[in-house]
Amino acid sequence: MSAFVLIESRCSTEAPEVRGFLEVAAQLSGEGHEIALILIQNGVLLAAAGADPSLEALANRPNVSVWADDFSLQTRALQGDELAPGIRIASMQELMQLITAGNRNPIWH
Amino acid sequence: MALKEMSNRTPEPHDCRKSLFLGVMGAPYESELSTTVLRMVDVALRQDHRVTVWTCGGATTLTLQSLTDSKPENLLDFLTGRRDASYRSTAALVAGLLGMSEGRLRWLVCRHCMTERGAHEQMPGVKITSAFNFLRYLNEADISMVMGVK
Repeated sequence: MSAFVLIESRCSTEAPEVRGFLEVAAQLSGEGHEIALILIQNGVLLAAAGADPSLEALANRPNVSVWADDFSLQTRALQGDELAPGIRIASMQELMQLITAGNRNPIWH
Repeated sequence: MALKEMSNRTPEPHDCRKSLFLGVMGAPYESELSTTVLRMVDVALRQDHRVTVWTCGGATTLTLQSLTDSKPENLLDFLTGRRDASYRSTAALVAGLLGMSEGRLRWLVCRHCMTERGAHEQMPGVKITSAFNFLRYLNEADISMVMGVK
């Protein structure tokens, strides 16, 4: 099994492909791969509670971790207690550790 | 509670001294992409990695010499009493990163994209290169990622 870092920089209202990107994450997870999904820029808007039920379901899978960039949250006035359960807040230092750890394949959207 | 305080979990120990290739496409101010790239490069260098940034398309204008060190005055500052505020240009920010990198940062500018935009006057320190070298640099790196418009 492989490990993937998927980085979503857009929200579903600006780019319909976001839906497909999350489906890819779900499919890879279903095949047993380890997934770290990073939300950055407008992508953090998906992290708000109730904003995207499919993301919330994804965050609850055992082999998926979902991370939201703290700077992107701050610049959109999103507080930690407004996020969906299971979504973790991370600094760029922590996100870079995710990207460079092990033999992961980062994919940007 | 502050966002920083809520970030209470370190993902995992990181591997040092990897080489990263970041391909940057698209117009600089279409989104926060430029900011994200600069943040990533800054942190990657501080974590001892080697970084190659490949700028394509509109991203080749991030390092124009004509940008000078500072951005034009922010008109909002006139309304908020911050007329003495100044903001560094992307060229100045890249120059700062090149300076702190001790040779671990390569900032590459695609010659074809640069020429197509008339962005010939690039700042010192960046390397102008043929579009045909893209895959070579990408394959050389331990970790490669293409960001922005594809």
